[in-house]
Amino acid sequence: MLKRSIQIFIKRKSRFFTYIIATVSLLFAIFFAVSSGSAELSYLNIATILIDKWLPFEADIDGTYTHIIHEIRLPRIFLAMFVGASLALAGAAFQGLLKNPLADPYTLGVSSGSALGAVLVIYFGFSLPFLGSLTLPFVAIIGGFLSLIFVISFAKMVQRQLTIETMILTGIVFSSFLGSLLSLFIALSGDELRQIIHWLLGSVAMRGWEHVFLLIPFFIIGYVILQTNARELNAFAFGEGTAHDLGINVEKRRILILFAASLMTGAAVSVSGTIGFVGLVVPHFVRLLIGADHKHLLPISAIVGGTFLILADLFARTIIAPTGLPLGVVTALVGAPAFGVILLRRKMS
Amino acid sequence: MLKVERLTGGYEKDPVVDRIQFHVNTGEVFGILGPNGSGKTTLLNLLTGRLPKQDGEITLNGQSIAMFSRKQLAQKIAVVHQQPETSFSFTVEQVVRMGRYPHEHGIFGTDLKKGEQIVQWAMEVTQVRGFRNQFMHQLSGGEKQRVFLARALAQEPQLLVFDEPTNHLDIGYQVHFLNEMRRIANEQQVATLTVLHDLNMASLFCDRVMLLNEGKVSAVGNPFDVLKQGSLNDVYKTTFERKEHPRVAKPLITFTPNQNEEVEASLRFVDYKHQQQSTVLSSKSHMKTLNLALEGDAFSWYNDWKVSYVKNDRDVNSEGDQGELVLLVNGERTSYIFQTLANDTVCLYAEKRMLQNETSYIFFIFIHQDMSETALLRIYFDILESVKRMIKKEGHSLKESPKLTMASAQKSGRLWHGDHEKLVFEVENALYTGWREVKCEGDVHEHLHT
Repeated sequence: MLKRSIQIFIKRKSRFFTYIIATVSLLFAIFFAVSSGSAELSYLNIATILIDKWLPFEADIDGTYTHIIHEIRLPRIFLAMFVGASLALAGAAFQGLLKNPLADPYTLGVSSGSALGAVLVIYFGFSLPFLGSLTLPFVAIIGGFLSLIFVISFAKMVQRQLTIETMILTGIVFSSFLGSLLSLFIALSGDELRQIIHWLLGSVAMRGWEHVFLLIPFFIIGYVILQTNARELNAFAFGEGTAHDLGINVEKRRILILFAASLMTGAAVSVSGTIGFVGLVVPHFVRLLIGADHKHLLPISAIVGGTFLILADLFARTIIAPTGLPLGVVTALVGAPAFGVILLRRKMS
Repeated sequence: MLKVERLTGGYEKDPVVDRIQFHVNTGEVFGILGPNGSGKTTLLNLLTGRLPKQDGEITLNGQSIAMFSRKQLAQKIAVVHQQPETSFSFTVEQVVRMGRYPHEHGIFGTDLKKGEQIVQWAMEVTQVRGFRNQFMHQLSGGEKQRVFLARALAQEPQLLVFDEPTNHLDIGYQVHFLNEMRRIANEQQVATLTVLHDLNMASLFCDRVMLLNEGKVSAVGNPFDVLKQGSLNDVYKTTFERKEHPRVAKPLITFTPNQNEEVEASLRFVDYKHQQQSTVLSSKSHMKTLNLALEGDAFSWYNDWKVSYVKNDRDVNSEGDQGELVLLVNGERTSYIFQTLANDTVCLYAEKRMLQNETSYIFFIFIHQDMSETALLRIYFDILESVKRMIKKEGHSLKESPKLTMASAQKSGRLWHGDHEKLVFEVENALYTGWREVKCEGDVHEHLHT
């Protein structure tokens, strides 16, 4: 009862504060992550460096620190933030659209497609002209899209009126098919094995600003599409029949939402590998705080997802430094028990 | 308001609904009935544009709905489904606000009308405003359904469509919800169309109903004309019985379940318990009793009867579910038992009780279960005549008309099959013999006299 009233209080009276709290936590996470690592930096140092870089003031600072912050930590943190935000948004959208709280960005097989694309690049070690080190994310995004197109057209072939059930089934079957292809490449690989495995486990380490800039346009396009479809997502949460009868162009909206969510998933997977549980757990957690209205669920999920992945990455790189843990392992280690707790609480209330 | 003409449509090649024709007026509740697979759902899908029609015309106020866009149609037709479940926690107000979707425009969803007011009004009308900040999963089934009704009203529709709206509700919520539906249709002057499974709900809550059978209209009109035993039997392939509602001019539809055990109805199963002011009779099986008390139905089922020795039937106060059997005639207090008439086919128990110059008679007649209530009433009046004749013959004066209460066990078994003249004759006979037999000795008689 108390919990309910707190929930209603947060939801009604101070949704504004939820945004504030979420944003402040994100900023703190960024700051905290920038300052921690093998080279300890004081908050004052960081502040000076950032001021020096972004504001028109001159400061007396050590060049190594500037390099560490600008070229190593910041891109890594921003990459983690955008990947986390993308996955959380895609998860929220898939869950709403598929009316299924267990859906995640990987349900429809987009990630397997991306992963297969990436593994192909690593396995054959090729690079496309003009793309250089971005060959892998590029091919991965293409792979994700091809698999989405395949899943949708196959589901349409099975049933002309595209239904959620057929789509989920097709997605699952296709995912496991691609998964077996992945396993095949792993089995065939020699020297690349470690690299492939490491990539599959998910990581934001050893990336640069170019990866961040690659992800940002996909994130923005995806987010804008999803946010403008927030009301439609609300209706989809009550089933496609309800959505239709409320005047929603179900076919068009569904494709649009699928497109946006898959775009973000594919882009995220292409730069960071498959990082699980963010897309599943974060929207659930946010719903507990502010309810299911997608108008607020989407932005808050994005912020919380970003924060979560920054902290998870911080944990991954500092806990057994100098060796880093794979990020996907950390999110799964934290995410799975968290999801269990959420399930238990739902059952109890 | 809504006019459907020669509507044909369905999935792929073979149409599920075939040349359907009906109309719904403003403020009217129109019910659609039919067995599974008769095309009810397909019809709704055609109305809401979820399925394309193959032929015919659907018009709202003279405009064909094919002319409208998705959103325009949702401004005119709103649907309340059988409880759509969602695993996500929305508040009542959020759900109702979704109903404004067809009136919102642009990517920011600007409501051109005073949407907020309409949302509040819709919650007011359906009486869900009190819990507008609660989550849907905290509500009861009936409350949830009222929220979905509020959402439909927020669409400001001209036609409200209900798809088996009471499917998951218990009977109390069903009645409450359907009353609500009628009230809103009436107050807001919205044409209302509802698919219902329950024939009686349709009969009681719809102004007009349509009975669908294999995609065709079997009958359409007033429930009284549509819910006919014969056509219902044909459509549902079940044997129904039609009765009248005790208060309103609506038919009630019921049926007889298969009976496994054959109950032998006879007086051997009737127990007697004598008290000072009354005799209580009870039997293992219920018997349909003609009840002449001022309260309750004329015919109802009882398995115990109380014979009170009172001056007149105003003093008889019925307690519990005991049927009151009182017959007041002048005379002495006497009891009669008649049994085993005409090789056990008719059993009759008549009791004559006297108290303060008043006599009561109770009769049990065991008859075949197919006998109608009307036939039973005719027997009753004939027996009444016989009793009067006998009383006169015995030289008593008849101050007031004797009242008889009759119980008939309508169960299969060794029961009477003959025509009713024969029965009356035998009853008369029995009365005579019985009357004589009073002075004779018999085990039951003795027991009764003590």
